[in-house]
Amino acid sequence: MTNPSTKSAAPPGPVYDEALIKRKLGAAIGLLAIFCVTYFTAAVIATRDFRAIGAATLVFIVGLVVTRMCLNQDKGD
Amino acid sequence: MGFENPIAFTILVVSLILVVYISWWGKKQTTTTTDFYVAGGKISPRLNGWAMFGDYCSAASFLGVAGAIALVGIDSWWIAIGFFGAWIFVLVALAGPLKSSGKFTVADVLVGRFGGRSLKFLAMFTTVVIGTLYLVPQIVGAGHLFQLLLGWDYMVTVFVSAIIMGLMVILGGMMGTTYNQAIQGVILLVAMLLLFVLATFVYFGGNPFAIISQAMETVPPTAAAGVMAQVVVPPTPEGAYGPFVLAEAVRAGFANLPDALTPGVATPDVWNQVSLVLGLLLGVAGLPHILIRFYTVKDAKDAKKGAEITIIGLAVFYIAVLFVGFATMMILYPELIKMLQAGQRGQATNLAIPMLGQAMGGEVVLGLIAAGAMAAMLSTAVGLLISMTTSLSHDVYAGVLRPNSTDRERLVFAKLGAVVLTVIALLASIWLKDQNVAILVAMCFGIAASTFAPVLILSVWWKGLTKEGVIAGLVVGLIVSLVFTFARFSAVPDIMGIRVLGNPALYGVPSALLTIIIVSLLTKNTGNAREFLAAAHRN
Repeated sequence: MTNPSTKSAAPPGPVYDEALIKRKLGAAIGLLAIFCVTYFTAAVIATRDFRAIGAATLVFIVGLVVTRMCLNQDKGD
Repeated sequence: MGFENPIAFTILVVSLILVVYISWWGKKQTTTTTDFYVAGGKISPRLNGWAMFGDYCSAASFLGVAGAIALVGIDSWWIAIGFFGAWIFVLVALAGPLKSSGKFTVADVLVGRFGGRSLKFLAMFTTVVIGTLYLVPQIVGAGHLFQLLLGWDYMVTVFVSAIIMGLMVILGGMMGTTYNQAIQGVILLVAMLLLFVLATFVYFGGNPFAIISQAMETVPPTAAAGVMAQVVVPPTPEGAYGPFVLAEAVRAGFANLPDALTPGVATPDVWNQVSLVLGLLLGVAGLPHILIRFYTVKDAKDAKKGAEITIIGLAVFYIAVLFVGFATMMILYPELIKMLQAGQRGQATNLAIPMLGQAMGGEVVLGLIAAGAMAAMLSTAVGLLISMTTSLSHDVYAGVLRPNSTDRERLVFAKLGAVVLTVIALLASIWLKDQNVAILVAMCFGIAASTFAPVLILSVWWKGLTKEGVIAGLVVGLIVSLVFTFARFSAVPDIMGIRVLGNPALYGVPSALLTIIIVSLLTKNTGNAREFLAAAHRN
C-alpha cells in the first residue's frame, strides 16, 4: 500500500539559485574568454601573416584544453 | 546515360544499401513520436558524440574545405577552424543548460520560458529557413559527386540526390539516423586520414611537412589560371609534364603571385575575415539539426561528454583537411587549372577530393571517398530534415493547428513536410550549382548566428530577457542576415552604402543582439524566468 499523502505530493522541482547561475556564468565567460581571445587574435593575424598555420593550430590546442576544463568543472559540481 | 566509373559506383551503392538497411532497422525501434524525433533520449554519450561528428561533418567539411584550400590556399582553412571553434562555444555556453531545460526543439526552449503561439511559429519559421538553406549544399555536393561517378547531367544527378535524401527520412527516424550518423562519422574520419597517408607516402616521401614546404612554393590555381597563356613549361623526356613541373613553371615565371600560404587570396581583408569567423563561431549554437542531438542522451553531463568526443574528432579531422587540401592543389594542379579555365569552378572546388582519390588509387579509392562524401551529405541532410520536420510537426501541427492529433497523423505530417522542403532545396541547388559547398554552409552559419544563437544564449543565461526582445531580435537578425546573404550570391557590392561581405554575421549578430537587449530593457515580460533558469542550471 502506498501512503496517500506521499502519493499526492508533487515531486520537488528545481530551485532557482541566483548564486549558482552567476557562478556558472562566470565560469563559462572565463572559459569562452580564453578561447575567443585566441580565436579572434589568430584570425586577425592570419589575414596579414603567413604564420597563420601556427596561430590557427593554437586555436585547436586551446579548444581541446578548454573542453577538458569545462568537463572537469562538471566533475566539481 | 552510362556509368563512367562502375567499380566506384558499385562501392557507393553498397554503402547506400547499408545505410538504408540501418534506417529500416531503426524504423522497427520507432514506435512513438519521441522515438522518431530524439530516439527516446536513450542514446549513449559515446554513440551520440560520433553521431554528432557524422552529422556535423557535412559536404562542406569533407569536400568543400579541402576543395577550397586546393583552389585558393590557406584562407579557406579558416572555415574549418571556425567549424571547430563553434563546438567549444556550444559546449561551454549551451550544451548543459539546453539539455537540462528538457525541451525538444529551439521553439520548445523559447516557448518553455515565454509561452505563446507567435514565438513558436517564428522559431519554427526560422528553423525551416536555416535548415532548407543548409540542405542546399548537401544536394549540390551530392549532385556533383554523382556527376563525376556516372557522367550524367547535373540536372539529373541533383534530382536523384534529393530523392535519396527525402527517402532516408521517410524510411527511418532518429534511432536509425543516429547509428547511420555514427558509422558515417567513422567512415569520414578514416577516409580523410586515408587520403592524408596516401598523399604523404605516394607524393611527398612520407614526410607530411614536405606538403607545407611545397605549398609555400606553389601559386594557387585560382591565381595561376589567369596567367597560363604566358607560362613556359619545360619539356620532359616522356613528352608530357607532371603536376609539380607545371607548378614550378608558374612559380618561376611569376614571382609576384601569391603562394598557397599567402593570406588574403580568398578573404581580402580583416572585416571579411572577422565576419566569417564570427558567423562560424556562433553558427552551431543556432543550428537546429545539431541542437536536437543534445536531447537524445540522458542528461546534461552525457550531452557534454558526447560533445567532447565530437570536438576531439573534429580537431584531428580538420588538421588532416589542411594537409589533404594542399596535397590536392599540387597533385591535381593541371586538372584544377584546366577546369577553372573551362568555367567549371563548382565542379573543381567540390570534386577535388574525390578526384584526388581517383588519382592515387583508381576507381576503388574513388569509390571509398565517394562513399565517405555521400555519407557526409546524407547524414547531414537527414539530420536537417528530421529537425525541420520535427519543428513543423511538433511545433506547428501538434502545437497550433491540431493539438488533439494522433501520433500517426503527426508522423505523416512530418514526412510530407520532408518532401516539400526537399523540393524547395532542390530548386535552390540548381541556382547555386557553381558555389563551393563550404561557402554555402558558412552562409547558413552566418544566418543561424544572427538569429537563434543570441536568442538561445540569452534565454538560458539572462533573467532580464523578454518575449518582445526575443521576437524583435529574431525578426531583425533574420531579415538583416537574409538580405546580405542574397546580396552576396547576387553579386550586389553594397546595400544603401553598406558593403556586402562574404558572410552576413558581422551585420546580423550585432543587429540582433542590440535589438534583443534594447527591447528587453524597455519591456517587462520575462516569462517564467526563475523556473526556466532553475531547470536549465540544475545540477
